[in-house]
Amino acid sequence: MGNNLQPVRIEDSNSAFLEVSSFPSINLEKRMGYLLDYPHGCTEQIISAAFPQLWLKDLTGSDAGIAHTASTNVTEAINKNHFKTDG
Amino acid sequence: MARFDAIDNWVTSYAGHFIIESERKGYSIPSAFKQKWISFQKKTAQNWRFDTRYKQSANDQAYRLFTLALAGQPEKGAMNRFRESYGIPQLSRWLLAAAFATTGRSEVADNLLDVRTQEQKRSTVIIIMAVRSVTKL
Repeated sequence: MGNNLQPVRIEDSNSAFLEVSSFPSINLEKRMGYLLDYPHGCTEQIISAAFPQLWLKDLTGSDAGIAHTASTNVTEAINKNHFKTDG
Repeated sequence: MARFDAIDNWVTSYAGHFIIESERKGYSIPSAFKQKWISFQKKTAQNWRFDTRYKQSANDQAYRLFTLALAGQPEKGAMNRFRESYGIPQLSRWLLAAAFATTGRSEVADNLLDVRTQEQKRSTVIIIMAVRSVTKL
């Protein structure tokens, strides 16, 4: 890429970023934000919110914050009453 | 507390599926739940019979068989019985194929998903039914 790009308009008044990836952007942060705070509480919904979070670490890699929230959420889901048994 | 007979069959498999995958990912899971879930799934899978009128029931059974296979407790007899049935719904077909693939029988899975064999089976059934109705007359 050439390095002779001239900034247009007023300096420091605009910003842009370029992301290069081998697969299409899935806008994970926005989607996961929704999932991490998913408030509903029947068995099916609890599982649906927690299930994808099992693999979140594989996708977000080094983002320790998300990984921690995810594993807390999974643990919480596992420990819900639905998975307790009498005997 | 888990009273599996009181809740939806699909959700029961879903719950077990989640627990099995969690365990694989290194989470500690309630072992009493897993044991109870496996024995419920096995019993239900063995007692189930295919009826083309109840599509959802077929899908429930297929998901049950897949999750049992995933848990390392495949109900092979029920898997084979189901596989030999005619008119298996498409979703059941995929889940059943997943169950066979999980137990290392990918050739059976391939066969279940092969549209050519499905077409062949369908025409065989139609011929058998036609012959039966003719011979009854």
